[in-house]
Amino acid sequence: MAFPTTSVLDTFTRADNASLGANWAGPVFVGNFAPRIVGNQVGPDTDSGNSYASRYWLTPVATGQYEAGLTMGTVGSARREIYTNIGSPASGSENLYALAETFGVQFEWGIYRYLTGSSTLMGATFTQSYASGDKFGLEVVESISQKAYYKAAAGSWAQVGTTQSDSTLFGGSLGFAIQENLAAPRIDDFFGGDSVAATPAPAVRPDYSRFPKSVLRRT
Amino acid sequence: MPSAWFLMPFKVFEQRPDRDTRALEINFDPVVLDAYRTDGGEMRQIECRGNHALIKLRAFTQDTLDKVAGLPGTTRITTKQLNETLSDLTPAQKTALRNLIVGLGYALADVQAALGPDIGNRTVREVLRYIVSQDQPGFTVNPDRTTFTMKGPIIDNTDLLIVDAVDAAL
Repeated sequence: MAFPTTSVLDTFTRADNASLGANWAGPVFVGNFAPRIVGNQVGPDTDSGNSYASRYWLTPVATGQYEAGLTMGTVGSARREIYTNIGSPASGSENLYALAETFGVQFEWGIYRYLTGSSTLMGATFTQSYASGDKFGLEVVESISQKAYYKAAAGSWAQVGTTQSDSTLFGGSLGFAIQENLAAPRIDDFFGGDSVAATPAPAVRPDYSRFPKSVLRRT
Repeated sequence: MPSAWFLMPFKVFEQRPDRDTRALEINFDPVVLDAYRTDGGEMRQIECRGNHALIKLRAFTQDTLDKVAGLPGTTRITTKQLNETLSDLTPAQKTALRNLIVGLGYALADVQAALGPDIGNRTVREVLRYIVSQDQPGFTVNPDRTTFTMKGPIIDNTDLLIVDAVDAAL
């Protein structure tokens, strides 16, 4: 199936602001900070070094197949995370799937599942370098698969890592996090939502005009 | 491509400093992880009790599967098809498999009730489904940063068809 099938939810193109606006809520995890609009992108609001700024899109997914992703802004020295299936945010018992980079190992990624606040890497980590303008995304088909995707700025989308088959999370919201660091790490265009089914091919109907009426009978 | 089912433990993984995270043992051996990656390896995990996961792993070479089988705490359960029985296991191997399941936290009486007195009479599907029939996904990492305290309820896995789905995928 093609990825992505959804459009950008927020380009973050607006005046600098301490808030992302009314379409976003957060944080995703207890103790996370608030990201801010800065230079038509999103960055952290402070430099705690070890924590993250996070937000989730207020409109939850409604079907069993959805996706989320973002564009890497200024890379800086920070890690990013993309979330789907966010449930019980900032409760200490958060549920979600995450495509996340390892804090201490730049370019090492994994698909994680948070279940009642406990985080489990699914399968093995994988390596994917990136630069400003590149994109990452996470696709979920409930009870069937979780897949990570990457697109170089001038390239095309391709799956990275291996497919996972967790079947524990359903529904919820989409979101992201960026490590707190004021050395200008940024993210840009956030996309996602319920996957848009490919346009079905037109039904193939028999061309009865090619047959003489004598061979066409009601059944 | 060869494939096999494994039972593999989780270890503490420092994914980010403000979260406790666990990851499968394969992520901590660079040699085996590199072999898995470069060999076109693919695996799916189904979590179970005892801070372990049932793994189906496929790779281009048998050597990679052998390397995975040698990881600490990891057991290669079988390379058989789901509908085959484990009748060719020796008595010692049957006992070892039963003890492996009990070691996850299942009561011996429950294992025997579910799988019978001779586990060799059961199919791979039945045994694997039993292994993943319960899970305890909650945990905290202890201050030593190497051990876990499992917490939260033990939950029944209501989706045992996941074993068949994973098998079909790999």
